[in-house]
Amino acid sequence: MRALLPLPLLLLLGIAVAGPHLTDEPISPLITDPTLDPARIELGRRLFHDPRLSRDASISCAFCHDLARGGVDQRPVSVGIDGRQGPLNAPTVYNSAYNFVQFWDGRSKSLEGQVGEPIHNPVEMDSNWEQLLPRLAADPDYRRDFARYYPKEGLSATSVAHAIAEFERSLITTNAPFDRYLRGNWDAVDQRVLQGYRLFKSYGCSNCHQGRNVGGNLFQPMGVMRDYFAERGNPSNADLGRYNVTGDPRDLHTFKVPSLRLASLTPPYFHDGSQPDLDSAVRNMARYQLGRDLDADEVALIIEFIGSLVGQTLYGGD
Amino acid sequence: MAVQHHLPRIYYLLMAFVLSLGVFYMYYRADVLSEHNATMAVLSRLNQLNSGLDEQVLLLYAYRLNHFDQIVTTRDEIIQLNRTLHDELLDSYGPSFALAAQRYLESSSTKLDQLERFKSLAALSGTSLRDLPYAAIDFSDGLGDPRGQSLMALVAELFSYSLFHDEEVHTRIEERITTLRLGQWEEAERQSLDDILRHSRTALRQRDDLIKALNSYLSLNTGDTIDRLTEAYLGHHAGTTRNSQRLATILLVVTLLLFIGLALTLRSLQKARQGIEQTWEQLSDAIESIGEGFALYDAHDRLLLWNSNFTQVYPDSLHFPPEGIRYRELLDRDLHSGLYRPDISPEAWIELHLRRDGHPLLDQLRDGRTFQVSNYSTTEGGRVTVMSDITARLDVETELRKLSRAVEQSPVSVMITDTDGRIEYVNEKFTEVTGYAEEEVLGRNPRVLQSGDTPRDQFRQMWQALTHEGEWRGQFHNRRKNGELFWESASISAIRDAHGQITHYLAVKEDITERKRAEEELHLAAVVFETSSEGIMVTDAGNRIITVNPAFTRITGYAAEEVIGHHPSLLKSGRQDEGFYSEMWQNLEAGQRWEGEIWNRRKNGELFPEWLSVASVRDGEGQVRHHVAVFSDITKRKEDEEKILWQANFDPLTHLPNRTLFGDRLEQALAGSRREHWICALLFVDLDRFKAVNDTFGHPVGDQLLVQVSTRLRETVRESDTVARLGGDEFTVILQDVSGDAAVALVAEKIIQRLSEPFEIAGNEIFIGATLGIAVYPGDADDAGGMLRNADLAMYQAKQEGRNRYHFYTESMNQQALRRNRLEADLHRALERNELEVWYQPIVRADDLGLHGAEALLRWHHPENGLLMPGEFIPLAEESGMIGVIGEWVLEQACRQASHWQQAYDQHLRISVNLSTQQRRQGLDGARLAELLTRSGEGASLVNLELTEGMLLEQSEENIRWLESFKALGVSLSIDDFGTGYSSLSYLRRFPFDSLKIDKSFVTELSPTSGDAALVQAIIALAESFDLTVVAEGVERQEQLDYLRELGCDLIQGYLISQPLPPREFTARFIAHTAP
Repeated sequence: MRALLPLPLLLLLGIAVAGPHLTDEPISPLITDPTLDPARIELGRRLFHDPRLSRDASISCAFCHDLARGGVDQRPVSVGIDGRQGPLNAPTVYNSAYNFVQFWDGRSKSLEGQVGEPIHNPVEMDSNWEQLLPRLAADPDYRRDFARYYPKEGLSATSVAHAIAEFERSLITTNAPFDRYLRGNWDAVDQRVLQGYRLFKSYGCSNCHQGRNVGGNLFQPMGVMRDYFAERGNPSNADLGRYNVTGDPRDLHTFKVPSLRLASLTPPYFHDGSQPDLDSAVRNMARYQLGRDLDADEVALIIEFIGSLVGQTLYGGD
Repeated sequence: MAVQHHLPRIYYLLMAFVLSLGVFYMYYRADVLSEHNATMAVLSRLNQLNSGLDEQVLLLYAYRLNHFDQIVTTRDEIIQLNRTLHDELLDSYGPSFALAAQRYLESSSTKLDQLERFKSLAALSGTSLRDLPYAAIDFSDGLGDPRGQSLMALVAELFSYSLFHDEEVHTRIEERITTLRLGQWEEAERQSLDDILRHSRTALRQRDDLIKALNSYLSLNTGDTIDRLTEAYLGHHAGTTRNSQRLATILLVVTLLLFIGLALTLRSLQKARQGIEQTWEQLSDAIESIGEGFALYDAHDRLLLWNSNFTQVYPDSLHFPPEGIRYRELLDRDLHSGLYRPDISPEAWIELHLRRDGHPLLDQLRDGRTFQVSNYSTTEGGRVTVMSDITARLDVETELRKLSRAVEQSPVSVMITDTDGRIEYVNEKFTEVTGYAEEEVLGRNPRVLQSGDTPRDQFRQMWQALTHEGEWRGQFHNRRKNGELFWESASISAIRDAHGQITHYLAVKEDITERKRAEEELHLAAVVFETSSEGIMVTDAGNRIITVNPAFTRITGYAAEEVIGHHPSLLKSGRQDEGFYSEMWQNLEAGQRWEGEIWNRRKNGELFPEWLSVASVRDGEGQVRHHVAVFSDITKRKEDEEKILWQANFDPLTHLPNRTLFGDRLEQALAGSRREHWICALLFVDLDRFKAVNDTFGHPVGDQLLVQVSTRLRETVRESDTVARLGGDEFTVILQDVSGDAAVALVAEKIIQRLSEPFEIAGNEIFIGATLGIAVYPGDADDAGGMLRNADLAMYQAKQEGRNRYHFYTESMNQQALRRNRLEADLHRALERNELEVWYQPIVRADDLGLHGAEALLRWHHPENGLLMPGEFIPLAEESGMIGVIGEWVLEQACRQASHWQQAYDQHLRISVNLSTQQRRQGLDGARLAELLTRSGEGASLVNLELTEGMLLEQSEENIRWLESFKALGVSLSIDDFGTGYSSLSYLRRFPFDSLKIDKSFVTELSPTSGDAALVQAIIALAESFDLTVVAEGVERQEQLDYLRELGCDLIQGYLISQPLPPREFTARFIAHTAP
């Protein structure tokens, strides 16, 4: 257990000793967007679960982003069409609306822009719009609903992407115990969670994992204090991270900081899916990003805190 | 003339063109203006966002940002606006704007890239600074020597460096790191130290990187590129504006010139046409004014010009041949049509006429007219023919004779005056109409007939017409000789002599008084019928519809032709029964009109309310000829009345009464309370943190919250209480007929508790609370205004004391509520703290005063208020639901005590325990009691349960089963306070009681002479007949005991024997010394 800092140092750091207040805390509660169009959400939900989006109509978006399993497939790296394996761990689709960019390397700035990528990716769905749109248009239900809910565009790449994105924007996990605590329900979490939260802040985890999504709003290099890739071995092209997008050497091994909202439900961890459980993920984060070794009690408390970030959804799981 | 019309047509075309140009220009301007506003909005928003981003970055640099959500939001908006700028605006405002935009976009893109780098670095640097002190303390705590201090100094200097950028400190930190690394360390320490030193070096480097990144970010000066972009846009916009203004000026000038040109041309055309017309008119007038027929022929003897008198020669003048016919042809026609001279041959006649010597010829027409014809030659070799009709002259005498005969016998009045207005002649009809004899009016002025009603102007017009046109027609309102007024239609014409001089005036008049009146009435009725907004339906004697007006069609939907001939019952809605209609008909037959509201059915089936008025029309013999029904559709009025009433009284969001209705209800509640001596309370409810909810989630969620709050409030109070919304987050509750302020406090607590539970709105869990102020009538105020003011004041008081609580307006009530609250809290702990104790009062046999049993009575040793009697806290326990626990505790104590006395002293004492109504609701029954008995090791035969009459009001099977469940255990039952409640013999029979207890109020006044004696005697007799044991409680004096003995009472309880005592004392006084 860590000792308390001497009071002068506390003041120097400006650490607030009082209870949480919405605006003072690095983490704020998730809220839903009431302006979304329910009809388009429903349309997007159907597309999201529709295997016709892949070349041989074998997998849908939900194949890798299972809404009942925290919005992921819980595999180290995802399996696409014909059993082909991708290089990266699938991130959760829940709360993705609050990610400032999409993908580990941030190559898509919007959810709409993201939709086309897995459709075209040869190891994922391996399809394209030219093949996919006529296939969807052959379904009278889609024809009718797109004409009704997208009277201007009709059924097009834009409207399909928008409907799926609209559905994804509705996947917000609200009323997590910790959110309820932040909103003033002091009994929503127990003392162990609060201890974990205090550690989470004092170790500096909350410098990157902050905001509504507890992450998902900045880039960070992997392995600040120790060389993660040298120690892991077996380097791959995907390990280069954002460098693959910008070509700037300063972006080598840099990734979007992932949201910790549903971390308890979405093993394995890291972009390469190398961490089988939260215990090793937390321990290795401290090791490579902080240069610190945490003791088992601390790791357990932080994991309890992360568990309190899980909110409720409308679609299976919790 | 034809050319004159073509010229302006060109002008009209031109003008239309210019006008359309103008309209096009206006639209263009409006378009440009709205586009300008939109573009300026984009540019100024960009500027704002750019500054906002800079501010966030500086906050981040100072480690003042806890999270990046705000930055990301700003960044997203910038990206979106940049996309708009790039896709929609870039090429719209000329090359310099495009260039500036390009520069800005590049700068912005670089800036956003640098922002991401800066964010990464700031997070990294923050993480190191956050963790480093902890790491250093963990490490140096184990050392506790100067090396530890040196490490702490390193950390302190790192922090200093992070706050104040100083190269010297930088160097010192590096030196410290080197010194520490070269120091003497054990192997175990070395490992941790290296980690900390590496950490420090990284923190130092990251801070330097961060400063570099900030400088590079700040040097981008994107703000300038936005300024230049705005300038470029404004420059372009100014150019556009100048161009459009120039275009507008040109348009204006062209339009003006066109208008001037058009005006000038129109004027000159007008002049020319006027000249020609004038000449033409002069000639026509001249010819027309000739009294004789006149015709002019050209040199070829073709007809050129003629006047109307000429055409009259021809009997079929309508078909008179057009200009250009030859004179010879005309003569042939003449011969043909009947102009002839019987004395000469046609050839000779033509010969005579072809001459142009001006010799007058006499021609006679078959119709009897005689003309004198003269032909003259003109200077151009043409001919002029002049013809004059001389028939009249010949016939005049004969005619006169005939006419005068006609006039004499005419059915209309005829009057002739001379030019001075003196009457020269009147006919018989005249004397008949006016009542004046001929000799009375001859030589007099017609003014004698004037009624004075005819306006002066009319006479003036009449004279003007007569003088100018020789004729006037009109109507007079005149007076007969007998003074009666009458209307006359008159035609007056001037009679002229051969010179055209007026010699007489002839007036032909008809009495139209009757006709006029009938016409007016008919006209009026028709207008009313057609234009009335009320539906009108007329039926005949057989009640078949004869006619309906347009309003009828509008209201019922039936066109006239669809209903005429039908019976009005086709409008029947079926809402009124036959009795209703027969009563209506009775009214009508009795000669009265019927009026009232009635429901009818439209053609489309819709029902509607109408205001109907029916009357019968009877003929001279009193027979009904028609019925007239007049009605108006009052659907809308009824709806409006309801809607207005609702809107005026209810809050549209929550559907609760609004301030107005609340005021009424409060007045009513106060009036009712005054009348009935009720207590009435006003609760003023103010929501806590409502504004925060509105700010965080937006107004739609706020509104939802208010709706849910109102639902919860309604659920919390009784149906008869009023919940109102005064506006905003302020609600009020009126509680009428409450038992006292304790009950009010209970409701207030319930409200606070209900509103503190989380609300679920649009997937969000929301927490608020409520603060209440309470005013109570009577006491706090007498009128509604005072109540509201005081409740509001009390609410503010509560707010000041902290939220989520209530406050009474009156201090004493407040104290009481507080005391009650404290007492309740204390009561919760009383059991744990062992503050409750059961005392026992002995019950003895009346005959020998031997100990029979005891009544268990609860006492509370309150740490501050001393010893409390049950009356002071049992009601509280019942309200708060604690009675269940306390009641069972008492039962258990009593059982243990009885068991103790039996085992230790072999005393078989029956202990009476009081039951509360509440206890039954809390689940106490035979089964539960059996558990208690088992737990305390006690036989049921030692327990007697006392119930009050009030608990047995309902003689239901359930009640009986409940009591029998106790009875089945072997427990005995008795009725407490007998005689004070709703005594009823029937329950004595139905319920399985063993004994009854005479209330102490009867015993207190007991003496052989008092009225109570008879009552007690009756009770005892009654008890005997039901085989019940009688206990008298409250026995304080010997004579009471004596008398009770006399009456045959079985058992005695009271101060005469002993007060209630703590168990130890009871044992000492009544058990120990009697023990065997």
